[in-house]
Amino acid sequence: MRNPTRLFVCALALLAWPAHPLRAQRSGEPKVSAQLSTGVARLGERVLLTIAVENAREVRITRMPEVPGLAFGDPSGPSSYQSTQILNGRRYDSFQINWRLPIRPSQEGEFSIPPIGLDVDGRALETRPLRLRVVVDLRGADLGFLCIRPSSAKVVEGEPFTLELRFGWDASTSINYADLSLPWWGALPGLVELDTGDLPSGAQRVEGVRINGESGLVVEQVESAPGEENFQVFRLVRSFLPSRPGPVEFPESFLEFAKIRENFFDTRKVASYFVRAEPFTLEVVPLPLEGQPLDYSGAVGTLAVHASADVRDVGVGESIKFTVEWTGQGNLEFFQAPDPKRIDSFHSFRVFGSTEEKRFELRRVVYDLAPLDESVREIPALPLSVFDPEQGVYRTLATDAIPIRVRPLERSATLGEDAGAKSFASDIEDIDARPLAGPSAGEDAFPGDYAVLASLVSVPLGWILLRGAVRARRGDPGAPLERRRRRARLSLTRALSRSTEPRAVLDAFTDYLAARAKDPPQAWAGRDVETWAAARGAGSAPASQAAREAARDVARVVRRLEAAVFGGGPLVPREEVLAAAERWEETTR
Amino acid sequence: MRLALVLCLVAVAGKPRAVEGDAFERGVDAYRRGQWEVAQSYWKEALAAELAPQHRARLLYDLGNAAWRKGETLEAVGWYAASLRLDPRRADTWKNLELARARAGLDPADRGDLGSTFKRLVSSLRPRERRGLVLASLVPLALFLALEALRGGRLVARLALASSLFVALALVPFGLGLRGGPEHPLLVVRGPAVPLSSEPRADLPPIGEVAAGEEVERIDALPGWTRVRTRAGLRGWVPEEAVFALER
Repeated sequence: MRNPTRLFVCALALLAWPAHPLRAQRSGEPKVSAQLSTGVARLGERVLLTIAVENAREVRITRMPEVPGLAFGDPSGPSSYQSTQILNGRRYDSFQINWRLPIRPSQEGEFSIPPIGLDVDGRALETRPLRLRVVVDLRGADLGFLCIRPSSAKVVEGEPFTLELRFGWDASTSINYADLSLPWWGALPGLVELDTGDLPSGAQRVEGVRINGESGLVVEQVESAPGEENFQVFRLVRSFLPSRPGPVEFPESFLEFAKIRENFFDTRKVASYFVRAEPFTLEVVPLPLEGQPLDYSGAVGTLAVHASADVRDVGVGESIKFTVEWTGQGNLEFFQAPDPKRIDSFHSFRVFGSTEEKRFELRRVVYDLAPLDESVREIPALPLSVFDPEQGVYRTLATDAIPIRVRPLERSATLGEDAGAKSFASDIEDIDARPLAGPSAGEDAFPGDYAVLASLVSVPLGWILLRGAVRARRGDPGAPLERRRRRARLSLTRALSRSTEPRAVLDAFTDYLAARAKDPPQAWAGRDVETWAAARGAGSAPASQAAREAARDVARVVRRLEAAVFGGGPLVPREEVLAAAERWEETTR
Repeated sequence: MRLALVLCLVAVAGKPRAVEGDAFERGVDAYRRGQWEVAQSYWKEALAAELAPQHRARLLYDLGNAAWRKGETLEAVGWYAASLRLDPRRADTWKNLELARARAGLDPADRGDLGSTFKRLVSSLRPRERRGLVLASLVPLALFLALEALRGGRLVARLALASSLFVALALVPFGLGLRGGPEHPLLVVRGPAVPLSSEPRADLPPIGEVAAGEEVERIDALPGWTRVRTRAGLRGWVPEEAVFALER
C-alpha cells in the first residue's frame, strides 16, 4: 500500500459458486474504519492515520480533527482498491477508498483523536475515536516482549485463521498495569471476527489488561516457553475469516506495562515501559478457479464429517432424522450446507426440511428424510465440496452411507390400483315389511288442536273465577290474619308439646282463640267465650246448638286453665285442650 | 260384571284395526323380486286405505325405496320427506332421505348447524305428541293456580309461574305445528329447475323457476298442470309430474 493508487482486479470465475455467504460482505452497506500506524509514538515521530471506506463510490472528508499537541498534515490520496469477481454467472464488485493523514506529535501525553466526518454516497458517516500515546522515550525493550503471530502468513479467501498475541514482562518486576496498544484492533477491513474470545475451560484467566486504553479484556496466563523463562507470559487468541482477497496490514503494536502507585488522593505511574511488535502483512489469496466443482458451496478448511440417523428401521414414508456434523478448522459457519433434494442419490427420499446449528467449531444440520420405497437400503453418502488450503485443491468430503431397513406400508394394497381393493358403497336402508294396521279407534282424534286451545284458555280462566269466588267469600286467603287463622291449631299443638306449664298453656290457648277469631291476643284476655259465641250466633239451629256446646267446652277449659294459673288448681290435660280446640274449630269454620 | 264389560269395550276400541294387507304384501313380494314399478303400484293401492299415521309413514318410506331402486332419486326424496312428516323420528327414513338428497345434488335436510338442529328438535314431535305435551304441561299449572286461588302464598305463586314457563316451552312445537307450512305442500322433483308459466301452457315464456328439492304450495290444479306458490310468493303453473305431494 505504499503506492498512492493500487488496483487489484481479481480473476473472473465463470464456474458456479452458489450462494457464498461472504458475498454479503462485498455488496453490503458502506463501512468506515480508521487506523493509526502505531498506538505509541515518540515525541516528534511521524504517525500515519489511514481512513478506509468500503462499498462506496463517492467519498469525501467533511471534518478534520483538531487536537492540541498533534499537528495534522494534508491527507494524501485518495487511493482506491477494487475487487471484481463473477460467481455463478453474476458479477460482484467491491471498492475500498483510502486516505492517509500524517500526524506529528508536538508534546508528550495521551491523546484522543475525535471522529473524522465523512460524506459517503450522500450519507454522513464518521470514524471511531482513536487513541495515541506520545512518549519522550520508549524504554523497557529488555524487560518485556510482545509477539503477534498469525496462524499462516498467507490464507485463502474464506479460510479462517487465528492471530495469537503473546506478551509478558519480567517476573521480578512488580508490574500492576498493562495496556496493549493495537491500532488495528476492531479496524481490519476485509476480515470477519469469528469467535468471541472465550477462554478454554481450565485456562488461567487474568483480568485487568487494557487494550487501546479500555478495560474489560480477559487474557490467559500461560507457561513460559523456552527463551521466556524470566517472564510472566500472557496470551490472547482471536480467529478471523477473510472475506475478500488482498493484503491485510497489521501496523506496529505496543505493550505498555507499568507500576502504578495508588493512594487516597492520587494514582500515578512510578515506572512505565514499552515494548514493540513489528508490523506485518497477511496476504489473502483468492480461491483458485481451476478445479472448482459446480456444486462448490464455499467451504474452506480442513474439515471432517460425521453422520448419524435416529432410526434405522422405518416404514415407507416414515421420518428419519439424518444428522450431519462438520468439524475442524474452516469456515463452518459460512458455507452452504448441501441440499439432498438436488442430489440424485437422494431421489428415493422425500426431504421435508432441515434445521441447522452453526458454531465456530461445529456445523450441524439435521435433515428430515422419508424413504419413498421399501427397496431403499441405505441413506446415501452426502457430499460436500471443500477447498483444502493445505493441499490447495478442492476435494469432496462425503458422509458414510448409513444402512437402513424400510418396511412396506401396512395395508399397502389399498393404495394399489387393482390389488384386490375393497370398496363399499353407500346404500339405503331396506324396506319395512311388517304388516300395516289401521288407526285405533279415537287415535289422533283426542286431544285435538281445539281441545288444547280450549284447555289453554280454560285453565287461566278457571283460576280467575276461582280466585274471585274465594276472595268474595272468605277474603284474601293469603292475607296474614287468614294465614294465622289457618295455622292456629298447628301453633297450639306445637306450643303444648313444648311446655306443660299452666301459664304457657293458657297463653297458647288464648292465642289460638284469638287467631281463629282474627283478633289480637289481648282481646281474649278475660273474654266470656259463651257470650261471645252467642253474640256471633249465626247459623241453623243444630249448628248453633253445636256451637253453643263447643263454646261451653272452651269456656270450661279456659276457666280451668285460669284456676290452674291463678288459684293453684289442677293441670288441664293437653288432650283435653286440643279436643276443645277441635270442636271449637268445627263450629267456627 | 259391568266393569268387565267396559274394560272389554275399551280394549276392543283401542286395538288397531287390521288393514286389508294383500296389496301391501304383494308389493313386498314384487320388491323382493326386483319389480320396483309393480311394488310401487301395489303400495300406492295400499296407501288408499285408512292407516295409522306411523304405518302410513312406513308405507311412504317403502315407496321411497322403490323410487330409489328405480333411479328416481328426487321422487325418493319426496316419499321420504312425506314419510317424515308423519313419523319425524324414524332414523332409517332420515338416513335414506339424506342419502337421496346427496345423490340428487341437494343440500342435506339437516345441515347440522344450530338452526337445523333446533328445527329438527322441534319438528321431531308428532302432532299428537305436541298436543299431549301442552296438555301435560297444563296439569301442574292448573294445580298450582288452584292452590294459589284457594290458599294464596308466594311459594305457590312462584310454582305457578314456573309451570307457566313450562307451558310456554311446550307451546313452541305446538305453535309451529299449528302454523305449519303450506296447506298443500309439494316438492319439486324435476331438476335442476322447473320453469314457472303464468298460464298452463308450455309455449309461454317462463316467469320464473323453482329449483329441484324446493317446497312449494299447491293453490290450483288442472289436468296435467299444477299451480303453485313459491316461498318467495311467486305464483305460476308447472307440469303436474314436476311436483310431488308431500301429504299423502
